[in-house]
Amino acid sequence: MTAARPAVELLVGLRPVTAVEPVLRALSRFATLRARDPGLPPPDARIATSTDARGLREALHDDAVPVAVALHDGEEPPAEVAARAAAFLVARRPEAPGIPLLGAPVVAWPEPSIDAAAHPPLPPLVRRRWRRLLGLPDQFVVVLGFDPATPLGDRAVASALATCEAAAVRGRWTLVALALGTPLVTDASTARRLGLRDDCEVAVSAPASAAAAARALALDERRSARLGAAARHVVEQVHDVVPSARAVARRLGILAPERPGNVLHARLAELGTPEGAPAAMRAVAACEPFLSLASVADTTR
Amino acid sequence: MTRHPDLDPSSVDALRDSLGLQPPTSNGETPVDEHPAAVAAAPSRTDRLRERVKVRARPAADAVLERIAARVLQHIRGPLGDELRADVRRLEGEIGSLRARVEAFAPVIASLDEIARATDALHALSANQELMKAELGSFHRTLDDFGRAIAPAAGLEGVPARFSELRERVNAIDRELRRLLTSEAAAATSPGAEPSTPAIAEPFRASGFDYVGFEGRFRGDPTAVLEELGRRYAELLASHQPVVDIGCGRGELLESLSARGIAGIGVEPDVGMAAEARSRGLEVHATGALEFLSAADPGSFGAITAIHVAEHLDLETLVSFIELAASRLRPGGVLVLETPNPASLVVLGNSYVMDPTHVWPLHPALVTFLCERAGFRDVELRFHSPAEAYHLPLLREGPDEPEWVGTVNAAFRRLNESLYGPQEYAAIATTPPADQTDR
Amino acid sequence: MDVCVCGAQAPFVHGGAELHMDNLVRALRDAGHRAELVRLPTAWDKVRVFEAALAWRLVPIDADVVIATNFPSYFVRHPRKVVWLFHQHRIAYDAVDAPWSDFGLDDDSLEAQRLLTEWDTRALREAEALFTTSGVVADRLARFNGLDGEPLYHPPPLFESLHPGGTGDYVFCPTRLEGNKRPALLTEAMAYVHAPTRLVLAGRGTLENELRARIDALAVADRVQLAGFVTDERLVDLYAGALAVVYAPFDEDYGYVTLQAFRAGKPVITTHDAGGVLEWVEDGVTGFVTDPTPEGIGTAIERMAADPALASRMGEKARARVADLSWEPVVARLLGR
Repeated sequence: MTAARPAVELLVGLRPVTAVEPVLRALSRFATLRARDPGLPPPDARIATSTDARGLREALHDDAVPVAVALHDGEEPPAEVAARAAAFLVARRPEAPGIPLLGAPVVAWPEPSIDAAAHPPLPPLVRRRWRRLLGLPDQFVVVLGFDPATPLGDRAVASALATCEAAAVRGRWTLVALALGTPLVTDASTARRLGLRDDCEVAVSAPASAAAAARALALDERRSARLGAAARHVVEQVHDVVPSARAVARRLGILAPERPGNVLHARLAELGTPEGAPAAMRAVAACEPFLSLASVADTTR
Repeated sequence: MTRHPDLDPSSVDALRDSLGLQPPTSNGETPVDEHPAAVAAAPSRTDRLRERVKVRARPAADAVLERIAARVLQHIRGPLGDELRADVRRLEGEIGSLRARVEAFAPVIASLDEIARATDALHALSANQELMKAELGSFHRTLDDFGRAIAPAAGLEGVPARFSELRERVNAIDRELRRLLTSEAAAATSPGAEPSTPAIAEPFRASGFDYVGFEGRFRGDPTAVLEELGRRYAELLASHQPVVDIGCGRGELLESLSARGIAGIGVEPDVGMAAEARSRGLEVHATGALEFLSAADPGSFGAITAIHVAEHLDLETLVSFIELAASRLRPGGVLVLETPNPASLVVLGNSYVMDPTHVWPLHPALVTFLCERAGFRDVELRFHSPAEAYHLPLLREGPDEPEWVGTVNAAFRRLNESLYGPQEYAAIATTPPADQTDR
Repeated sequence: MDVCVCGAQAPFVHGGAELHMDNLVRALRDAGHRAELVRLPTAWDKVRVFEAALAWRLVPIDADVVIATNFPSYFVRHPRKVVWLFHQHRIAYDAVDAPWSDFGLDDDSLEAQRLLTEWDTRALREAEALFTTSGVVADRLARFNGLDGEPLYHPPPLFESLHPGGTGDYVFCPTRLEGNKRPALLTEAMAYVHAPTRLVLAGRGTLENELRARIDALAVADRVQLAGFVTDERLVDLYAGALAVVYAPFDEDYGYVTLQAFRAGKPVITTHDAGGVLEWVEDGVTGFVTDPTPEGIGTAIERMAADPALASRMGEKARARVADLSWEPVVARLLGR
């Protein structure tokens, strides 16, 4: 299982690695990350976490191994780096002026980001049925970061957001709420920071009336369904870090080679099917003997 | 069983608690599973494995059923009775053993599941570890570069030597400069006058305070103090004779040293204590430290000890004392300054403030700095007498203990260190060897 | 343009959906396109619905445009996918608590329901245009999936042949004899009708025997006629000669019967839980909307029978209401023209 994993060597400089960490963490789904180690065979690709990374110069002149270079805060790469890097990694913040035009392709990853697959969305009807199954109140709105806040322990927050009718949230739980497809009220600055539009992905409210706005949203079946679905959609499109990691891997040519079965897996993935869902298991079980005979290349992804 | 990851049972229980709800009774949650532990963590994997086992098991189960059906048919056609009953019993037994075998799989599935989870965790850990390795490696190389910049030939390993050398030169220049400036100023203000030694403070004779009585009461049993000090410094001082003990008090240290064959001279400004020391047959000068050292020839002593003296001196006197000590020691000689350790809060809050003749707590870093400035080459710090009786007890650690035990112990160790750390320390400053003295 | 119309197939079942697909293909051909109907069998249990959907996901279709219709045909993958949504898998949505639903209140069912909703939302969001057959279907889409669909109304089968006739001595209901169409409710209503008016039920289905037993038990055999399968010609005649049409399905998506009745100049008696039927029937104007009880429906039939002139007037208004229905604008909207 790990034999086929490509190896990516990290070149580290003096700038903090934490800035690049989310995308590296997500990248470890596709590749094994490792430090420079002369004792090991050459890696399949290299990633420099900043332009002052040690060994970057030599790495750029090693034509056999592509290098991606992370740029920090609007930094412009030195000419040599710009000319030889296979890709640049740039944090994409809504307030940033934009993504610089550079010689090599730029892979932007969202800041802040979330692993969307870890929080599958729950539509309103399923939320209602979970409340019934779990014996929670049928009318249930969560307020976090606004007054009066729902008194919830940290462990309880995710469950609360997954089952509530609607929520008013700002602060660290906002992205989780959005990923869960929670019909959401938030304040203007959170909305701006996360690139959310009023009445499209969230309902924007003044802090003082956020709790009341969430209760009103819960009563509007069509609007809450629309906002919830759009919230999930925007998280997948904008805030999910995994596609960025996949893009980096693709730029570095280390995405696992197409194997039979990938078409089926790709179709399951594009419908948002969690790994190991019974539907996916049955489909794979039905197709497995044939998939291993076929050599279908997925040309569309 | 497939549960939404944000609706795992413990999280839902926490939510119910937060909302003040009872667990549902009727119409409630389905009983969790046969293997709650596995489910709570990673339901999807268990599920997948179970599904696979089911898929694999089905043809076998079908075959067994067919066989059973065939036999039952046979017996219905043939004579019924004992034979049939026996067969049924046998089949029951067979089914029982099959069930047992299937059940035997349960722990296997659970442990496979655990392995899968552990593998996931391992992946994450190894990614983190690689990140740290890369960062560490980078720092190491930066340090190497730094080393080569300072000591081009020796690299990082040559840095300490090279650095002390440079420091000494700077300090020597500094001292020379001060000497020149002082004599120029003296020449300017009172032409023809000799450069005067700095005024000698008399800190040991605080007006109306019975230091002898106080010390006798609080510093402890003279025999014990003597024993302890002798043990601490004998080995060091044996190779640095003669020893001058500044503020020798009743002469405990000198006595203990002479018992070990180490020659020493005492200096004690308190006439009472000096007399008491002399009465034990020791050579003790009843005078101030600066007076005594000024009068001595440069390079005339092997060691100068000042045990619990420095904290009684004001800064100006302390600086003069250390500088004077540096000049009166031979090359390679040692100054031993022992003083309460203010970095240990129990010392600062109790024994230190109990003595009204203390001027200012001396942090180890300050003493080190002063010694270096005065021209000493190496300054070594030795810490003594941790207040162990006060230490917060640590929990038992081990591979079988929970992870938080380590965290709690680490925190307690830090607390013990800063609250009940060593009660005193000694700065042991060595003068440069003969071939490198810049005097 | 080459257009593939995609529709799910429930083998051996022929109903409104099948007619709708055939008529759409015909309308596309009439508009000068090459059109083909592509169908894949489906299953309705909560385990295999996913496989039926996934099968569509893997079907390669070479056409300029695909028009997907009912669940799960809209899982088809095509760069130009237009969805004209007949219905979703209603058991996972509005009918989740219905007796025939196999989605229980347990972990597995809720996860299956969640996943199916998520699949639906994604597959439908892919469409370059999303239409529904009726406002009821669009409303469900909005409430359950948070998606906007535009209702696109089309003429029912036999639209050109249907015509008004006399005012007969029977109320008519062409329908499959299945649970959600509630034929028993109509039969029981006849026990409350005292006028010499008959109920003619045309169509077959699994409830036929049960229904016969019910008719005997209520002693209304002389008043309720089970006409079984009828030809199109006979159907047109039965519409033309009726006093009114009774149609009381539970939460119908669209309901050809209403439109056919209107085209034939007949008012429609229905219930306020009949779903799409209510987009057309206005109480007291183009028919009666009653409680879904035998008594309510019986009383409405009684009123029609008592005042045939009122029935005629309402029938005329009903016919005017559907006069503009036509396939040309439907085809144009679907193909983005």
